[in-house]
Amino acid sequence: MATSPGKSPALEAGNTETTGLLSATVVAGLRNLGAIISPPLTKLLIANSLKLTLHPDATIAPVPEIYASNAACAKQSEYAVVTLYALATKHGWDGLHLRQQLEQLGLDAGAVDELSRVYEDSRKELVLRQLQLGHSFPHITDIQWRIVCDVKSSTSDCSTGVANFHINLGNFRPSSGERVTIVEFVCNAEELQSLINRLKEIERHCNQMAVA
Amino acid sequence: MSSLRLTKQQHDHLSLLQRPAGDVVELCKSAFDYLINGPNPSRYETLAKKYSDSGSAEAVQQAVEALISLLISVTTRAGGDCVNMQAILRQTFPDLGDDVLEVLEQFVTSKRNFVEGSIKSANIRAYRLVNLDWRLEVRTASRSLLEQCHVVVTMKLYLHTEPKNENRELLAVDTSGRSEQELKAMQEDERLHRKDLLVQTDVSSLLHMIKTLEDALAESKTRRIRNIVDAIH
Repeated sequence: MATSPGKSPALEAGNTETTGLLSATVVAGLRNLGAIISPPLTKLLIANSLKLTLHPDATIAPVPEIYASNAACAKQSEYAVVTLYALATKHGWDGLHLRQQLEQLGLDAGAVDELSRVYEDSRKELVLRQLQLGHSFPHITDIQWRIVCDVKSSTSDCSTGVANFHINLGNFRPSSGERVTIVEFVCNAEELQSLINRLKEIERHCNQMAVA
Repeated sequence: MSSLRLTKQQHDHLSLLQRPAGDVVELCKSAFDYLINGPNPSRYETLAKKYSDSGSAEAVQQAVEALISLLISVTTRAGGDCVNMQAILRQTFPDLGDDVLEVLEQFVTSKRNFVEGSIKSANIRAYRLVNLDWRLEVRTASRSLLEQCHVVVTMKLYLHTEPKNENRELLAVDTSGRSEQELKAMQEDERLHRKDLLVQTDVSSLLHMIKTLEDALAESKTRRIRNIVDAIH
Protein backbone atom coordinates (compact mmCIF):
# COMPACT_ATOMS: atom_id res chain seq x y z
CA MET A 1 0.00 0.00 0.00
CA ALA A 2 1.46 3.31 -1.04
CA THR A 3 1.32 5.61 1.92
CA SER A 4 4.48 7.59 1.41
CA PRO A 5 3.98 11.29 1.08
CA GLY A 6 4.12 12.42 -2.51
CA LYS A 7 6.67 14.87 -3.80
CA SER A 8 4.20 16.46 -6.10
CA PRO A 9 4.61 19.61 -8.08
CA ALA A 10 2.25 22.41 -7.16
CA LEU A 11 -1.28 21.34 -7.80
CA GLU A 12 -3.86 23.49 -9.46
CA ALA A 13 -6.13 23.37 -6.44
CA GLY A 14 -5.91 22.19 -2.85
CA ASN A 15 -4.54 23.42 0.43
CA THR A 16 -1.08 22.75 1.82
CA GLU A 17 -2.18 19.77 3.90
CA THR A 18 -3.68 17.88 0.99
CA THR A 19 -0.96 18.72 -1.47
CA GLY A 20 1.56 17.45 1.06
CA LEU A 21 -0.21 14.13 1.40
CA LEU A 22 -1.61 13.33 -2.04
CA SER A 23 0.76 13.05 -4.94
CA ALA A 24 -0.02 14.44 -8.39
CA THR A 25 -0.65 10.89 -9.63
CA VAL A 26 -3.25 10.32 -6.91
CA VAL A 27 -4.98 13.63 -7.55
CA ALA A 28 -5.07 12.89 -11.28
CA GLY A 29 -6.49 9.43 -10.57
CA LEU A 30 -9.22 10.95 -8.41
CA ARG A 31 -10.05 13.49 -11.10
CA ASN A 32 -10.73 10.68 -13.57
CA LEU A 33 -13.65 9.57 -11.39
CA GLY A 34 -16.99 10.74 -12.72
CA ALA A 35 -15.19 12.25 -15.73
CA ILE A 36 -13.22 9.85 -17.95
CA ILE A 37 -14.70 7.01 -15.93
CA SER A 38 -18.49 7.10 -16.04
CA PRO A 39 -20.47 7.53 -12.76
CA PRO A 40 -21.74 3.89 -12.62
CA LEU A 41 -18.22 2.57 -13.23
CA THR A 42 -16.85 5.05 -10.68
CA LYS A 43 -19.15 3.55 -8.06
CA LEU A 44 -18.00 0.05 -8.97
CA LEU A 45 -14.35 1.04 -9.02
CA ILE A 46 -14.56 2.64 -5.57
CA ALA A 47 -16.32 -0.45 -4.16
CA ASN A 48 -13.68 -2.76 -5.65
CA SER A 49 -10.81 -0.61 -4.40
CA LEU A 50 -12.25 -0.64 -0.89
CA LYS A 51 -12.67 -4.41 -1.00
CA LEU A 52 -9.07 -4.75 -2.12
CA THR A 53 -7.93 -2.55 0.75
CA LEU A 54 -9.87 -4.40 3.42
CA HIS A 55 -9.34 -7.92 2.10
CA PRO A 56 -6.19 -8.11 -0.04
CA ASP A 57 -6.63 -11.88 -0.51
CA ALA A 58 -10.28 -11.62 -1.60
CA THR A 59 -11.30 -12.66 -5.06
CA ILE A 60 -12.90 -9.73 -6.79
CA ALA A 61 -15.33 -10.52 -9.59
CA PRO A 62 -13.84 -9.33 -12.88
CA VAL A 63 -15.50 -6.27 -14.34
CA PRO A 64 -14.03 -6.02 -17.83
CA GLU A 65 -15.94 -2.84 -18.68
CA ILE A 66 -13.87 -0.86 -16.12
CA TYR A 67 -10.77 -1.57 -18.17
CA ALA A 68 -12.42 -1.78 -21.62
CA SER A 69 -11.49 1.77 -22.51
CA ASN A 70 -8.87 3.84 -20.68
CA ALA A 71 -7.47 0.88 -18.72
CA ALA A 72 -4.49 2.98 -17.61
CA CYS A 73 -6.80 5.67 -16.18
CA ALA A 74 -8.87 3.05 -14.37
CA LYS A 75 -5.77 1.55 -12.76
CA GLN A 76 -4.52 4.96 -11.76
CA SER A 77 -7.91 5.72 -10.20
CA GLU A 78 -7.91 2.44 -8.25
CA TYR A 79 -4.49 3.32 -6.91
CA ALA A 80 -5.74 6.82 -6.06
CA VAL A 81 -8.79 5.58 -4.12
CA VAL A 82 -6.73 3.06 -2.12
CA THR A 83 -4.15 5.74 -1.31
CA LEU A 84 -6.79 8.30 -0.38
CA TYR A 85 -8.50 5.97 2.08
CA ALA A 86 -5.17 4.81 3.54
CA LEU A 87 -4.00 8.35 4.15
CA ALA A 88 -7.37 9.54 5.48
CA THR A 89 -7.42 6.61 7.92
CA LYS A 90 -3.80 7.13 8.91
CA HIS A 91 -4.43 10.79 9.76
CA GLY A 92 -7.76 10.12 11.45
CA TRP A 93 -9.89 12.27 9.12
CA ASP A 94 -13.62 12.15 9.65
CA GLY A 95 -16.09 12.06 6.73
CA LEU A 96 -16.52 15.82 6.68
CA HIS A 97 -12.81 16.48 6.60
CA LEU A 98 -12.37 14.04 3.72
CA ARG A 99 -15.17 15.76 1.79
CA GLN A 100 -13.58 19.19 2.34
CA GLN A 101 -10.23 17.94 1.10
CA LEU A 102 -11.78 16.40 -2.02
CA GLU A 103 -13.85 19.48 -2.77
CA GLN A 104 -10.70 21.60 -2.70
CA LEU A 105 -9.24 19.35 -5.38
CA GLY A 106 -12.08 20.25 -7.73
CA LEU A 107 -13.31 16.70 -8.26
CA ASP A 108 -16.61 15.66 -9.80
CA ALA A 109 -19.40 16.26 -7.23
CA GLY A 110 -20.86 12.76 -7.67
CA ALA A 111 -17.44 11.18 -7.14
CA VAL A 112 -16.90 13.28 -3.98
CA ASP A 113 -20.29 12.12 -2.63
CA GLU A 114 -19.54 8.48 -3.34
CA LEU A 115 -15.97 8.61 -1.97
CA SER A 116 -17.18 10.33 1.23
CA ARG A 117 -20.14 7.99 1.70
CA VAL A 118 -18.06 4.83 1.29
CA TYR A 119 -15.38 6.23 3.62
CA GLU A 120 -17.95 7.07 6.32
CA ASP A 121 -19.55 3.63 6.03
CA SER A 122 -16.24 1.74 6.18
CA ARG A 123 -14.19 3.88 8.51
CA LYS A 124 -14.22 1.37 11.36
CA GLU A 125 -13.08 -1.48 9.11
CA LEU A 126 -10.37 0.72 7.61
CA VAL A 127 -9.04 1.57 11.08
CA LEU A 128 -9.05 -2.11 12.10
CA ARG A 129 -7.28 -3.03 8.89
CA GLN A 130 -4.57 -0.45 9.43
CA LEU A 131 -4.13 -1.53 13.02
CA GLN A 132 -2.92 -4.86 11.62
CA LEU A 133 -0.31 -3.29 9.38
CA GLY A 134 3.29 -2.91 10.33
CA HIS A 135 5.52 -4.87 12.62
CA SER A 136 4.19 -6.72 15.64
CA PHE A 137 4.86 -10.00 17.38
CA PRO A 138 2.64 -12.97 16.50
CA HIS A 139 -0.75 -12.25 18.04
CA ILE A 140 -2.36 -15.06 20.01
CA THR A 141 -6.13 -15.23 19.87
CA ASP A 142 -6.74 -18.94 20.22
CA ILE A 143 -5.52 -21.72 22.48
CA GLN A 144 -6.00 -25.45 22.02
CA TRP A 145 -5.10 -28.26 24.39
CA ARG A 146 -5.04 -32.00 24.63
CA ILE A 147 -4.28 -34.30 27.54
CA VAL A 148 -1.89 -37.13 26.69
CA CYS A 149 -0.59 -40.04 28.73
CA ASP A 150 2.10 -42.32 27.29
CA VAL A 151 1.65 -46.09 27.42
CA LYS A 152 4.94 -47.37 26.01
CA SER A 153 7.64 -45.96 23.81
CA SER A 154 10.69 -46.87 21.80
CA THR A 155 12.89 -45.78 24.68
CA SER A 156 10.87 -47.05 27.62
CA ASP A 157 8.75 -50.12 28.18
CA CYS A 158 6.58 -48.51 30.79
CA SER A 159 4.33 -45.50 31.17
CA THR A 160 5.45 -42.38 33.02
CA GLY A 161 2.10 -42.58 34.78
CA VAL A 162 1.30 -38.91 34.46
CA ALA A 163 -0.91 -37.01 32.08
CA ASN A 164 0.75 -34.22 30.13
CA PHE A 165 -0.88 -31.24 28.49
CA HIS A 166 -0.03 -30.30 24.91
CA ILE A 167 -0.79 -26.61 24.59
CA ASN A 168 -1.05 -24.98 21.19
CA LEU A 169 -1.18 -21.20 20.88
CA GLY A 170 -2.26 -19.72 17.59
CA ASN A 171 -4.54 -17.41 15.71
CA PHE A 172 -6.81 -17.33 12.68
CA ARG A 173 -5.92 -15.78 9.35
CA PRO A 174 -8.39 -12.90 8.92
CA SER A 175 -8.81 -13.48 5.19
CA SER A 176 -9.40 -17.22 5.06
CA GLY A 177 -10.22 -18.14 8.66
CA GLU A 178 -7.46 -20.74 8.51
CA ARG A 179 -5.86 -21.50 11.88
CA VAL A 180 -2.16 -20.80 12.25
CA THR A 181 -0.06 -22.35 15.02
CA ILE A 182 2.38 -19.94 16.64
CA VAL A 183 3.87 -22.20 19.28
CA GLU A 184 3.25 -25.60 20.81
CA PHE A 185 4.64 -26.89 24.07
CA VAL A 186 4.09 -29.56 26.68
CA CYS A 187 3.62 -29.16 30.41
CA ASN A 188 2.51 -31.22 33.37
CA ALA A 189 -0.31 -30.28 35.75
CA GLU A 190 2.00 -28.38 38.07
CA GLU A 191 3.55 -26.37 35.23
CA LEU A 192 0.10 -25.68 33.77
CA GLN A 193 -1.13 -24.37 37.13
CA SER A 194 1.90 -22.12 37.30
CA LEU A 195 1.19 -20.84 33.76
CA ILE A 196 -2.44 -20.10 34.69
CA ASN A 197 -1.27 -18.21 37.78
CA ARG A 198 1.14 -16.17 35.69
CA LEU A 199 -1.58 -15.28 33.16
CA LYS A 200 -3.94 -14.32 35.99
CA GLU A 201 -1.23 -12.07 37.36
CA ILE A 202 -1.13 -10.28 33.99
CA GLU A 203 -4.93 -10.00 34.01
CA ARG A 204 -4.82 -8.50 37.50
CA HIS A 205 -2.35 -5.87 36.40
CA CYS A 206 -4.50 -5.06 33.35
CA ASN A 207 -7.48 -4.52 35.65
CA GLN A 208 -5.45 -2.27 37.93
CA MET A 209 -4.40 -0.22 34.91
CA ALA A 210 -8.02 0.08 33.77
CA VAL A 211 -9.12 1.29 37.22
CA ALA A 212 -6.26 3.78 37.47
CA MET B 1 12.45 -62.90 36.84
CA SER B 2 14.55 -63.26 33.69
CA SER B 3 18.02 -61.84 33.18
CA LEU B 4 18.84 -58.70 31.22
CA ARG B 5 19.51 -59.21 27.56
CA LEU B 6 23.07 -58.02 27.08
CA THR B 7 25.05 -58.61 23.90
CA LYS B 8 28.17 -60.73 23.91
CA GLN B 9 30.20 -57.57 23.34
CA GLN B 10 28.64 -55.90 26.38
CA HIS B 11 29.40 -58.99 28.48
CA ASP B 12 32.99 -58.89 27.23
CA HIS B 13 33.32 -55.21 28.09
CA LEU B 14 31.99 -55.91 31.56
CA SER B 15 34.66 -58.52 32.26
CA LEU B 16 36.37 -55.88 34.40
CA LEU B 17 33.60 -56.41 36.93
CA GLN B 18 35.33 -59.64 37.94
CA ARG B 19 37.58 -57.65 40.21
CA PRO B 20 37.35 -56.78 43.90
CA ALA B 21 34.29 -54.76 44.92
CA GLY B 22 36.46 -51.70 45.62
CA ASP B 23 37.57 -51.58 41.96
CA VAL B 24 34.00 -51.99 40.77
CA VAL B 25 33.02 -49.01 42.95
CA GLU B 26 35.69 -46.98 41.13
CA LEU B 27 34.26 -48.04 37.77
CA CYS B 28 30.73 -47.14 38.85
CA LYS B 29 31.91 -43.71 40.02
CA SER B 30 33.56 -43.22 36.63
CA ALA B 31 30.24 -44.12 34.99
CA PHE B 32 28.44 -41.46 37.08
CA ASP B 33 31.08 -38.96 36.07
CA TYR B 34 30.60 -39.97 32.42
CA LEU B 35 26.86 -39.25 32.70
CA ILE B 36 27.48 -35.72 33.86
CA ASN B 37 30.77 -34.67 32.26
CA GLY B 38 31.29 -37.11 29.40
CA PRO B 39 34.34 -39.38 28.95
CA ASN B 40 37.48 -38.66 30.95
CA PRO B 41 40.44 -40.46 29.24
CA SER B 42 43.03 -39.45 31.85
CA ARG B 43 40.93 -41.01 34.60
CA TYR B 44 40.66 -44.24 32.56
CA GLU B 45 44.41 -44.18 32.02
CA THR B 46 44.98 -44.02 35.78
CA LEU B 47 42.54 -46.84 36.42
CA ALA B 48 44.14 -48.96 33.66
CA LYS B 49 47.54 -48.53 35.30
CA LYS B 50 46.02 -49.59 38.60
CA TYR B 51 44.58 -52.74 36.97
CA SER B 52 47.92 -53.46 35.32
CA ASP B 53 47.03 -57.12 34.94
CA SER B 54 43.93 -56.60 32.84
CA GLY B 55 43.57 -53.96 30.28
CA SER B 56 44.21 -50.63 28.70
CA ALA B 57 42.54 -47.24 29.11
CA GLU B 58 40.35 -48.20 26.18
CA ALA B 59 39.16 -51.34 27.98
CA VAL B 60 38.32 -49.24 31.05
CA GLN B 61 36.33 -46.77 28.93
CA GLN B 62 34.47 -49.65 27.28
CA ALA B 63 33.64 -51.06 30.70
CA VAL B 64 32.36 -47.66 31.85
CA GLU B 65 30.21 -47.34 28.74
CA ALA B 66 28.91 -50.88 29.18
CA LEU B 67 27.95 -49.98 32.76
CA ILE B 68 25.92 -47.02 31.46
CA SER B 69 24.34 -49.32 28.91
CA LEU B 70 23.47 -51.70 31.77
CA LEU B 71 21.95 -48.80 33.70
CA ILE B 72 19.78 -47.88 30.71
CA SER B 73 18.72 -51.51 30.14
CA VAL B 74 17.73 -51.92 33.78
CA THR B 75 15.76 -48.67 33.77
CA THR B 76 14.02 -49.39 30.46
CA ARG B 77 13.17 -52.91 31.42
CA ALA B 78 12.26 -52.50 35.06
CA GLY B 79 10.06 -49.48 35.17
CA GLY B 80 8.10 -50.59 38.25
CA ASP B 81 9.58 -49.91 41.64
CA CYS B 82 8.72 -53.29 43.16
CA VAL B 83 11.30 -55.13 41.13
CA ASN B 84 13.83 -57.37 42.74
CA MET B 85 16.89 -55.80 41.24
CA GLN B 86 19.37 -58.10 42.89
CA ALA B 87 17.66 -61.18 41.43
CA ILE B 88 17.85 -59.75 37.92
CA LEU B 89 21.50 -58.85 38.33
CA ARG B 90 22.33 -62.26 39.80
CA GLN B 91 20.77 -63.99 36.79
CA THR B 92 22.53 -61.66 34.37
CA PHE B 93 25.94 -62.06 36.05
CA PRO B 94 25.91 -65.53 37.69
CA ASP B 95 29.69 -65.55 38.06
CA LEU B 96 29.97 -62.33 40.13
CA GLY B 97 30.35 -62.32 43.91
CA ASP B 98 27.69 -61.03 46.29
CA ASP B 99 29.70 -57.94 47.24
CA VAL B 100 30.13 -56.90 43.58
CA LEU B 101 26.44 -57.53 42.90
CA GLU B 102 25.58 -55.30 45.85
CA VAL B 103 27.72 -52.51 44.42
CA LEU B 104 26.02 -52.95 41.04
CA GLU B 105 22.59 -52.84 42.62
CA GLN B 106 23.41 -49.60 44.38
CA PHE B 107 24.75 -48.24 41.10
CA VAL B 108 21.64 -49.01 39.07
CA THR B 109 19.15 -47.90 41.72
CA SER B 110 20.81 -44.67 42.79
CA LYS B 111 20.82 -43.12 39.33
CA ARG B 112 17.63 -44.70 38.08
CA ASN B 113 15.47 -41.61 38.45
CA PHE B 114 18.00 -39.56 36.54
CA VAL B 115 18.19 -42.06 33.69
CA GLU B 116 14.45 -42.70 33.76
CA GLY B 117 13.71 -39.02 33.24
CA SER B 118 16.17 -38.83 30.41
CA ILE B 119 15.20 -41.92 28.45
CA LYS B 120 11.49 -41.35 28.74
CA SER B 121 11.78 -37.81 27.52
CA ALA B 122 14.40 -38.70 24.92
CA ASN B 123 11.68 -40.37 22.93
CA ILE B 124 10.00 -37.42 21.28
CA ARG B 125 11.40 -34.17 22.52
CA ALA B 126 8.71 -31.58 22.65
CA TYR B 127 9.34 -28.09 23.96
CA ARG B 128 8.36 -27.44 27.54
CA LEU B 129 7.55 -24.05 28.96
CA VAL B 130 10.27 -23.14 31.43
CA ASN B 131 9.48 -19.51 32.14
CA LEU B 132 7.32 -16.62 30.99
CA ASP B 133 8.10 -12.91 31.09
CA TRP B 134 5.41 -10.37 30.28
CA ARG B 135 4.95 -6.68 29.66
CA LEU B 136 1.79 -4.63 29.42
CA GLU B 137 2.00 -2.12 26.57
CA VAL B 138 -0.18 0.53 24.99
CA ARG B 139 0.53 1.20 21.33
CA THR B 140 -0.17 4.85 20.78
CA ALA B 141 0.86 5.37 17.13
CA SER B 142 2.17 3.49 14.13
CA ARG B 143 3.16 4.40 10.60
CA SER B 144 -0.21 3.34 9.23
CA LEU B 145 -2.35 4.77 12.05
CA LEU B 146 -1.13 7.89 13.78
CA GLU B 147 -3.73 8.05 16.53
CA GLN B 148 -4.53 4.87 18.38
CA CYS B 149 -4.74 3.39 21.84
CA HIS B 150 -4.23 -0.33 21.57
CA VAL B 151 -3.56 -2.35 24.73
CA VAL B 152 -1.22 -5.25 24.10
CA VAL B 153 0.26 -7.87 26.39
CA THR B 154 3.68 -8.91 25.13
CA MET B 155 4.99 -12.21 26.45
CA LYS B 156 8.31 -13.95 26.14
CA LEU B 157 8.03 -17.71 26.32
CA TYR B 158 11.15 -19.61 27.36
CA LEU B 159 10.95 -23.10 25.93
CA HIS B 160 13.30 -26.00 26.49
CA THR B 161 13.38 -29.57 25.28
CA GLU B 162 15.17 -30.74 28.43
CA PRO B 163 12.22 -31.37 30.69
CA LYS B 164 13.70 -32.58 33.93
CA ASN B 165 14.87 -29.94 36.33
CA GLU B 166 17.83 -32.03 37.37
CA ASN B 167 18.94 -32.29 33.75
CA ARG B 168 18.37 -28.61 33.10
CA GLU B 169 20.46 -27.76 36.10
CA LEU B 170 23.30 -29.62 34.47
CA LEU B 171 23.05 -27.21 31.59
CA ALA B 172 22.85 -24.19 33.84
CA VAL B 173 25.61 -25.40 36.12
CA ASP B 174 28.19 -22.94 37.39
CA THR B 175 30.51 -22.31 34.46
CA SER B 176 33.54 -21.33 36.49
CA GLY B 177 36.34 -23.82 36.33
CA ARG B 178 35.14 -25.36 33.08
CA SER B 179 37.33 -25.70 30.07
CA GLU B 180 36.64 -23.77 26.89
CA GLN B 181 35.68 -26.97 25.15
CA GLU B 182 33.15 -27.85 27.86
CA LEU B 183 31.66 -24.35 27.74
CA LYS B 184 31.36 -24.56 23.97
CA ALA B 185 29.57 -27.91 24.25
CA MET B 186 27.18 -26.40 26.79
CA GLN B 187 26.46 -23.41 24.57
CA GLU B 188 25.83 -25.71 21.63
CA ASP B 189 23.43 -27.70 23.77
CA GLU B 190 21.61 -24.50 24.72
CA ARG B 191 21.36 -23.53 21.07
CA LEU B 192 19.93 -26.91 20.12
CA HIS B 193 17.46 -27.31 22.95
CA ARG B 194 16.28 -23.81 23.77
CA LYS B 195 13.81 -21.56 22.05
CA ASP B 196 12.72 -18.16 23.28
CA LEU B 197 9.67 -16.76 21.59
CA LEU B 198 8.08 -13.31 21.70
CA VAL B 199 4.32 -13.25 21.25
CA GLN B 200 1.54 -10.82 22.03
CA THR B 201 -2.11 -10.95 22.88
CA ASP B 202 -4.96 -8.66 23.82
CA VAL B 203 -6.81 -8.59 27.11
CA SER B 204 -9.94 -10.43 25.93
CA SER B 205 -7.82 -13.18 24.34
CA LEU B 206 -5.88 -13.40 27.59
CA LEU B 207 -9.11 -14.02 29.51
CA HIS B 208 -10.08 -16.63 26.95
CA MET B 209 -6.70 -18.33 27.37
CA ILE B 210 -7.02 -18.44 31.17
CA LYS B 211 -10.52 -19.90 30.96
CA THR B 212 -9.49 -22.54 28.41
CA LEU B 213 -6.42 -23.60 30.39
CA GLU B 214 -8.47 -23.85 33.59
CA ASP B 215 -10.92 -26.10 31.74
CA ALA B 216 -8.00 -28.32 30.67
CA LEU B 217 -6.66 -28.54 34.21
CA ALA B 218 -10.12 -29.29 35.64
CA GLU B 219 -10.62 -31.99 33.02
CA SER B 220 -7.35 -33.68 33.97
CA LYS B 221 -8.55 -33.97 37.55
CA THR B 222 -11.78 -35.78 36.69
CA ARG B 223 -12.25 -39.36 37.85
CA ARG B 224 -12.42 -40.54 34.24
CA ILE B 225 -8.97 -39.23 33.33
CA ARG B 226 -7.48 -40.40 36.62
CA ASN B 227 -8.85 -43.91 36.09
CA ILE B 228 -7.40 -44.07 32.59
CA VAL B 229 -3.96 -42.85 33.69
CA ASP B 230 -3.90 -45.30 36.63
CA ALA B 231 -4.97 -48.16 34.35
CA ILE B 232 -2.19 -47.39 31.87
CA HIS B 233 0.39 -47.16 34.63
